[in-house]
Amino acid sequence: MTRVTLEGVSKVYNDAQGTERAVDDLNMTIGDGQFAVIVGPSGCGKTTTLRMIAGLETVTEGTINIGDREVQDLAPAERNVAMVFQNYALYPSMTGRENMAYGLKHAGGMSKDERDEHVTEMAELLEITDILDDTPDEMSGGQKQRVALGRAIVREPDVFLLDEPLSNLDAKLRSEMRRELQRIHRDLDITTIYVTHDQKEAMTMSDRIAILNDGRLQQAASPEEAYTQPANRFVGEFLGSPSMNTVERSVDGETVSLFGQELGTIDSTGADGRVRNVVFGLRPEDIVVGESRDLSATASVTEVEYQGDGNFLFLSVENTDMTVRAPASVRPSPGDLVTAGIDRANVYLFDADSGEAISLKNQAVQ
Amino acid sequence: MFTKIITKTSQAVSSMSRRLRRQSIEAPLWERVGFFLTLGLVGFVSVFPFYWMGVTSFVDEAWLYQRTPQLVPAVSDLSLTNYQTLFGAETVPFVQYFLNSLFIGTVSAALGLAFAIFGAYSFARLEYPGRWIFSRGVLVNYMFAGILLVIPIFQILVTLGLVNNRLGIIVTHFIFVIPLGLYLLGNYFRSIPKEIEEAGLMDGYSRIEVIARITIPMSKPAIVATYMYAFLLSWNEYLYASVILRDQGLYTLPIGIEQLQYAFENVWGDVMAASVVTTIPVLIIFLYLQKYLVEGLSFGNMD
Repeated sequence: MTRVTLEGVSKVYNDAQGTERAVDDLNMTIGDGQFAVIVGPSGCGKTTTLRMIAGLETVTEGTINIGDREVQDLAPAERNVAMVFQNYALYPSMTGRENMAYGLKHAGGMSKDERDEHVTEMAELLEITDILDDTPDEMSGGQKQRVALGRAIVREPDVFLLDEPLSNLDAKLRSEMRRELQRIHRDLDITTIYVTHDQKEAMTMSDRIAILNDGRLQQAASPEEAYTQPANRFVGEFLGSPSMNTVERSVDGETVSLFGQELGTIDSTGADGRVRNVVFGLRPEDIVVGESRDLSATASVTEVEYQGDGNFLFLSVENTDMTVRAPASVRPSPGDLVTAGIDRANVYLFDADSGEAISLKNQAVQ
Repeated sequence: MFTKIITKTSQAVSSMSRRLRRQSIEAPLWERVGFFLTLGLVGFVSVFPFYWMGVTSFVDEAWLYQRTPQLVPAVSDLSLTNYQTLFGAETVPFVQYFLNSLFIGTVSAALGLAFAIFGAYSFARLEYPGRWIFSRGVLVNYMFAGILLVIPIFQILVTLGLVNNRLGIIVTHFIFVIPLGLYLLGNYFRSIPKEIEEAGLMDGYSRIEVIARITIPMSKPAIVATYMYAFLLSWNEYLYASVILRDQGLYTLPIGIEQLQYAFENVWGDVMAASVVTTIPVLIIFLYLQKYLVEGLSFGNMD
């Protein structure tokens, strides 16, 4: 049972420039055998978090548990974790086989034949049997990535850590490796923590997604939950491409309205008792063009981008820019006036100051 | 991988420039003449002294002092007399000087290197208070002209009782090797992706094992280059050797050659023969180093 638990984990860097809190009071649990993805913009602390779990970075405050062991003071090798690095970090002078066997050799407890057998077995799983005797110089990026994966999984770690492993690959190879990683994870059932800045990668691969920003955890949930019930404005805007449209409006009493149409009522006083402003979040794919919905407005088309399987429409609604993902059949010309509508249930509401999601007290009736 | 890209790029560039040349996009004649003239002049200034050193060492005094000086001796003028004198018994103990230099150079460079590897590694990879001061401060040493430090270093050696002692000169050369070694190796270590070392740490190595089994083997070019550079520094060093060493039996080559000149007047042939012998190891080292220097430049991508 290898559950990874982070409790109140912080990382503070002190240097000549001053103090920086790279990771701030992070609490997170990754269940046994889960495929968890930590995602966020660059500099959000996701790699630092992974490196703290690996033991390559000290933990300033808090505890990290792997299984039932507290590991934050253990050396990397004592944690029984394996890591795949973004630049593969293969030992350049060794063949694929030697790279994979290196850690095993050091861990001891296996004869040379056993190690060989083990490496061969993993190589078969990763389909790299034919390049085992090549040096990293002779391998393509994808092959190196597979060997790096092999080196990590051959040791059968309790936890498998991946730091942006696919970002050096081209798009086609990346989607191939994405499926490959999921297959390997299904086969081996090792608790996996995967760091990426790519929200698409995060959404497609994970059982559980943790969104970080500025060193703080924004939300940890299943991808579906994070997408459909974002905890705050950051999560709402970060997930999804093109990203969520946002419109800021002040609240009139308790009623929130968008483009002159009532959406419903909220508690108009926040914790500090002030009347708040709200931010409406509208996902590009939830907006329908050419039909009226619960909320509708007339919009002028500013730009149309053909995407093959559909179009991105850039609309201006009462001087607010909106992006809409429309089916291929909907293809107005720039300058056209169209009706744009959205259902109430698809409108997200956030507090404009804190960014927290707000739920409606009452939904307006039609 | 990276070298492949470089080769491909340079192939592409050269085929491109060949094509361009066909369209006669080329430097005008006078520019090319000017270029080669300058190149020739610089080449002459740097190579001619070596040529003259070689020639002088193989001719006798009479040829050197003839009324109409010649640039190229006839084959009949050439002889090995100067070398025979140099290695003979009636002059200075040249072989002894050679061995002294070899010993002092080998040891001071080895000590300096061993020290520099760990120091440079700590500058490149480890976090500790004062690292910034140390890593910068060590370069300050390099900013002083050697002559400025002669007296303080000499006084230290007097206190330590190391004047007129091989250890004294080894320590002195070691002091000068260190900043260079720290600087060269520090930069090189930084160019090794730290993930490779971290992979080693995760595979179960201690920091020392990582240095010994990953960093050092991967830095071979830089380590060899640093060692040789350190050796040459000691081999050619004159100032401190002349101040610290008193006994003739301890002399290194640079002061030995000077002494040859003082002891026997105007024995240019002998002096130049000694210089040739002194230069040979330097030449060999440079020919060898050259390869690593090129490698050092194209380094930085390890995957």
